Amino acid sequence: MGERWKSFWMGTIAAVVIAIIAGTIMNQTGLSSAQKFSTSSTRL
Amino acid sequence: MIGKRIREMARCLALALLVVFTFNVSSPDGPDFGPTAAQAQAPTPTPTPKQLPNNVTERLSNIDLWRGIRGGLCGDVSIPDKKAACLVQSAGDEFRAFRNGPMSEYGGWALLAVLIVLVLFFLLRGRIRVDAGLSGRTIERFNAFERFVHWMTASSFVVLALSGLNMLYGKYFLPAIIGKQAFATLTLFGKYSHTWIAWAFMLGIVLMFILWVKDNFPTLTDLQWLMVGGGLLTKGVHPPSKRFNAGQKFIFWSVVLSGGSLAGSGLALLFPFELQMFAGTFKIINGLGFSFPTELTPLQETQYALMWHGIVALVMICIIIGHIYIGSLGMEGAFDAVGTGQVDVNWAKEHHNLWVKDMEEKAGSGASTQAAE
Repeated sequence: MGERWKSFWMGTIAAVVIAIIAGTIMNQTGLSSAQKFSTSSTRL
Repeated sequence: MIGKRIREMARCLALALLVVFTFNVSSPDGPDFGPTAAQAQAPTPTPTPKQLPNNVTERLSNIDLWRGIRGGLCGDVSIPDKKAACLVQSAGDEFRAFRNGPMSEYGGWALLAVLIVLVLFFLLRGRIRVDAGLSGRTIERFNAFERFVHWMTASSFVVLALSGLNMLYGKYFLPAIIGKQAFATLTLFGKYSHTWIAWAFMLGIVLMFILWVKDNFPTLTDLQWLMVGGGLLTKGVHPPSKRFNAGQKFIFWSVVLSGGSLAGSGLALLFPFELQMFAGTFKIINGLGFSFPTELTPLQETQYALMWHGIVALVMICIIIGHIYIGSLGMEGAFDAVGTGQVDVNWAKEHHNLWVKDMEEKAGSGASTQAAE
């Protein structure tokens, strides 16, 4: 069971790690709702 | 005598009613029975804009303007959220009708059809066994890195498929089973999982393409394989095949092309209003004689991306269900290729005889095989 599923677990763990890293980066770089709907630079 | 007096009183009453009626019709405060002939011929006075404080002129309600806005007419805004320039996004009605209608309906039928075909196939054909029996000797089919890439892509695809199917179909039955609150939490979690793990899937698609493209170009051998249905339908039939047979090549190119397309439309959805691919794509397609719209608002771009993403994903899920079946329950010894990476030599000879021959020639007679544990 161990050897048979070793590749599966390694691939799955790698996918989860990539997802966590991607999620962290995306959360930091994305516009927040406050920024998105900000009227501070609105041209009137 | 009495009759004469009654007739006189009736005449007076009728005269009084006529006077009252005439007065009320001509009176501006009276009941409105429609315009008089004079009023009907008179031109309708045009309301003039009122001058408001600070030199602001009042805008009058304009039926054409509002009709245009209802039809998708957009203005201009200086805030970061550019979609706020469209007060009414009418194309959303058509998008929603298609997504909740034909797309969901036909997609559901396709998924059901695949499952039914596989169940029937299993009942009729059973598990495809190694006709010569297991030899006890194995040969390496995929190395550790290839298996790692396969499972990284596969596990991320399963998460993407389940969370995507939940977004499309979950609302129809899950709230009744697990409750609305749990469904909302599950869907929110699924949405984040979908957008985050998509990066692992995209990386996996690129790596799989690099690893296996050289063995997946169509050859004449594939025709022989296809002519006998890969031997899947008849016991004891084993058409020649190199490292990948025609069926596996179909899976490979389906995954690469549909996965690439999903990645493209997925990136457009991850970065809406920044990545827009459909207007440009439609311009190219229109060169072939089609007439797709080429002036798309950012929201329309997103809606096209969502529709395309959903359709391609449903097709890919159907194909991968077949792949999972034949790689596990459907064929004896197939799972070992991506499990331990070592497959039985007899299995390899029956399904990939030309590949085994190449491997043995490269490594010397029997040197590339090892005894199974």
